[in-house]
Amino acid sequence: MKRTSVRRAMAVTAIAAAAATAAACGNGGGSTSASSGSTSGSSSSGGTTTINFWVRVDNPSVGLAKQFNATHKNIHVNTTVVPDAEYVTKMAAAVRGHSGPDVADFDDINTPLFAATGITENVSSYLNTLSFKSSLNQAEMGLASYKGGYYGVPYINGSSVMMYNKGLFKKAGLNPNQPPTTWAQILTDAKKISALGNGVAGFTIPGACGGCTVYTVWPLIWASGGQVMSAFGANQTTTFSTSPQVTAALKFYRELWTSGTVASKDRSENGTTWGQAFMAGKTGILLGTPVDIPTATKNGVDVGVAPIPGENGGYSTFVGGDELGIINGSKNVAADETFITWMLGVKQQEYVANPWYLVPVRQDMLTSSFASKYPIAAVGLKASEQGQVPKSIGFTAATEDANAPWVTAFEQVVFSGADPATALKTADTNAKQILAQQYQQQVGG
Amino acid sequence: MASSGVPAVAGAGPVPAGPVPAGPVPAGGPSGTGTAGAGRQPAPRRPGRNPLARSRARAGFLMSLPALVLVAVFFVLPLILVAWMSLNNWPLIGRATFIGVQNYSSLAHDKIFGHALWFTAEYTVIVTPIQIVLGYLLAVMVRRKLRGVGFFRTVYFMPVVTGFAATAYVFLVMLTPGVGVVNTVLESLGLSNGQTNWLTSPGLALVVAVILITWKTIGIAMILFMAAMQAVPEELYEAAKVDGAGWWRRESRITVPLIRRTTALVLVLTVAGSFLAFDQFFILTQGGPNNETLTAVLWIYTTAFVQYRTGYAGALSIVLLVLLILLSVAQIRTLRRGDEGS
Repeated sequence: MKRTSVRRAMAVTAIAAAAATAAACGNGGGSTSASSGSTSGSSSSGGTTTINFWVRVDNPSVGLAKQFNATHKNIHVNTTVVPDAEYVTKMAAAVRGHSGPDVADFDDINTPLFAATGITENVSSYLNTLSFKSSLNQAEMGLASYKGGYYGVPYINGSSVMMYNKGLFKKAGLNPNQPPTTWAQILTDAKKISALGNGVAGFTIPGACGGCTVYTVWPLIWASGGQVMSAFGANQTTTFSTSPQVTAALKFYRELWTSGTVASKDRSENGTTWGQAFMAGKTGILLGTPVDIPTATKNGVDVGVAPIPGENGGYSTFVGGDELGIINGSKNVAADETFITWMLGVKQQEYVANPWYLVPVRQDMLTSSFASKYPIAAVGLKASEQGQVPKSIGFTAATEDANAPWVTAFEQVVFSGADPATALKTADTNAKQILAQQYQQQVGG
Repeated sequence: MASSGVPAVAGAGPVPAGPVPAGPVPAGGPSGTGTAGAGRQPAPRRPGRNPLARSRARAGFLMSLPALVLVAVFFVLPLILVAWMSLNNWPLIGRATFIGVQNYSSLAHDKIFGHALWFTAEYTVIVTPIQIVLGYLLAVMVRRKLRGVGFFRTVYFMPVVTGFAATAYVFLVMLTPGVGVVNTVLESLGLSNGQTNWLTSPGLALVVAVILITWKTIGIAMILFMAAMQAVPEELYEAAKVDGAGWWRRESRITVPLIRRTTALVLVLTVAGSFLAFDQFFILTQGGPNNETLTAVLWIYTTAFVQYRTGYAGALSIVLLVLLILLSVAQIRTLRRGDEGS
């Protein structure tokens, strides 16, 4: 009957829809990474081994992997680019689901986390086979060391430097070949450049970006002999209120702000437009990453580069950058090691310096011929001798997140003029809790 | 007026005076089956005894099966999983360990969560009356069939169909000092010095968020109220006009009581939506400065994906869910009581 057949049709449709939904849910469980490349482990077919390689953002790795493939017939590298903000989350999900890559290029700051949670494998014996092991950047090696082993391989040195606009220096009556070497000099130079008017600012402060300020302000502190964090471990604390150089640095920034040498929009700069004014030729001094330099040069800016100075001289840098790791579960470790060794070769590290304007991770490359061919990278490489990088599990949560204690204290002291003693004490208390929580959470009791 | 236990249907207006059907059309109505004496059979006292009612029930069940499956897979199952996670120390990377109710006891001491709940409540209390009053007024404007009213309906409703994250980003850019258009316009009008930092001051940031959400979602309230108002019979207004009632009396004595159920719906939707506010605060201020514009969901996000403490985030989620259920039940009960009392 008409009624029954309608009911039957409805029943069939309903059940079919339910079945299709269930099937779709069952199938699609895997990760949806930026491109399709995340198959688990490596595979071998007729003599060619394929290894899966995850890289972050757009960096030398993509180009280098292509060069590797062109010159190695028996190993093929399958590259996947993963956006930085999701990198750790995606890696965690992939490794948990046994679909992680073989080799990964990740932010060196994450190395202790990956080591402690078993994401990367112990590569100590591999490192001992490298003739240049002792010249690998010591800060990055420190990040990779964990419980007697090494869980990452230094790969790119992304050290922070001081960049300045030589043209604006000249206009302001300053010697373009004499960048400031003390904080007092930075202040006077910035004031003279701001006096040029016409929307020109002397200095840059990425006020609401924790990642930017740790990268550029902490070297000022280190170069002056200060400390920001205590040793890695369950009882790690920040030393913002106990190290006088931290207070000095924030007061210095406060003075730069109140003297009008910084654009007012910098206060809410969260990193997305950081450095753009400098690249457009509107700023005198920018502490940051030399990766910005090609854009500035294209816009006609004559860029000078110098190390980030301490209060009364000296210099330091924040050794950011990337490390390579062999991911837990990789099936063809020999191929992974071949690839990593190749990536650390002199020619490849020179590629990192040009066209990428990053810094090689091998201090043995700092020769006079290197300095004359790659003057900009040489600045970062030299500064790395005095460079540091904080080793901590809870680093992101305590310093880079928008509400991190460091970011709050920075905003309060530099822009709101709060008393540094109280602000930094509060920051230390809150950071201590976060660091303890994070350590407990990831490494366990 | 006749009241009934029929649950509020979106936009349902008042039932005209007269015999009110107690539920779906009883068996024996115009159905065209061969049941003997169909039109005259009294409604059976026990549903399910009647084969027709049973087959209707089965058909109803089958039709809702796909939706039930989706709800089960995408809501019930994850809910059970989250409840389980909340009893564990479950780092994003690494092994999970069972810790019982420890997450809940840490939660009780979590000052940031307390502050986030307070801020979320504050935000809800601000947004809800605005949505109801403004939605009502807009509906009054667009409910009549005048020429060109379709244009206004579209204009007010269009923000609803734009992507939320995209509009939040547009607002962000418009408000950035030195880059955005808002400061430039205010400066040229002489209303400010053009340097206002909208998003680094919690008070201003809240104002911005309220403006954004109102602009974005007022269309929904407007449409719901409009549909409810259109179901109010014209005769009531004409009778009132004859009696000499002015606009205000007509609105407050006729419209407002008769669209009570829609008002309840808008209230529940707005409160629930505001309680779960995330997108605008994530994009505009990231909860800052110093957690002053942090909402409950944004804090859950931070603990899960910035601090990698997904077990603790699960506990926070469960607590928020319970709060929201209690809140919704309280709202519906209060409004239903008012309904039956009239």
